[in-house]
Amino acid sequence: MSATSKTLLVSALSAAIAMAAVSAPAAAADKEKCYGIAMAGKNDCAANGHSCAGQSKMDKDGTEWKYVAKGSCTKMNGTLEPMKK
Amino acid sequence: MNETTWQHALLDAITTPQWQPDPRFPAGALAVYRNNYRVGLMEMLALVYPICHQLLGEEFFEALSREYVKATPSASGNLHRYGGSFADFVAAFEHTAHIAYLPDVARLEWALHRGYYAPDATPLAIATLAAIPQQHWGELRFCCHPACAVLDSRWPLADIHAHHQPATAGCAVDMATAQPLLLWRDSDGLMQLHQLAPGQAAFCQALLHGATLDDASAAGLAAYNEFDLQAALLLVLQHGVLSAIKEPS
Repeated sequence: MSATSKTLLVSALSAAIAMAAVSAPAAAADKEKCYGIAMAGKNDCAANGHSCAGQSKMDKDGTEWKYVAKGSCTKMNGTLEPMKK
Repeated sequence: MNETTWQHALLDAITTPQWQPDPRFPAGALAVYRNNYRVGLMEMLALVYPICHQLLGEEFFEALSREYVKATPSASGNLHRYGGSFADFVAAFEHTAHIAYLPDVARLEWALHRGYYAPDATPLAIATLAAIPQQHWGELRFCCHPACAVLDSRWPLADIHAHHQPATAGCAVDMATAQPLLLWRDSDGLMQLHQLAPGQAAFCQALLHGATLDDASAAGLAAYNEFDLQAALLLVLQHGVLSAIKEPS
């Protein structure tokens, strides 16, 4: 690394350290981390894909693909095909 | 046949994509297990990929996830690890391959999902960094927070994400805009998106891969010749990207 970019890093990091010190992110210490907790909506048996959910739903084993996307990809910008680059 | 062999045969009969009658297992009972296995994985995909689900619609997503499950056995006992190759699958699958931005949306959703469940790590204390002699700063390498990820995409991922959130549903999306992202986890344990300025994706990606500060700075400058190093450093310090200093090896 050249001497110029060394100086650049030192001045940039000095400034960043000074700025980060006054606007430090909220300390994790004031929160209790519940490791492994499920995301909202994913925390019950029926929603978490466990097999007990499966029995309520019979899957049809489709062999032929005849589906057309009908979600928001057809509405976003009014087109399914993104702009050609 | 001993019990272990029997159990493995049963698992194979449950997970094999094509139904094959097996005299060892009653067809009706096996069908229940096969259905539960498949539906469980399909429902997991809908939970991990809610934006892809909205983009494609209920019926299409369900059919797509059925194809994915057929092609992709679960490699882990933990359902949260299932579905990581969905982006590559939709990129290659003939009925989704034309939706060019879909794989990157899936990559975003997978990174958000894995980031949410990633182990915790304490952000690097500013004082630790400040205490290191300046002439050694350039040689520093870091352990980064396991929840962090960089998505260097040419698609407007931040807008597509916002378009599908309840609070900002339907907001405008300009498909011609690239929005590379830094994903990080806030102090409430929730994943957040930060749109990166030019050069920052290369800089952050290098740091995540364990490059030295000098090399990461060079990567940022190589990607964009007016790369703002100070802003990039502040960004990683404020978002807790850096977790610890790696000992020089």
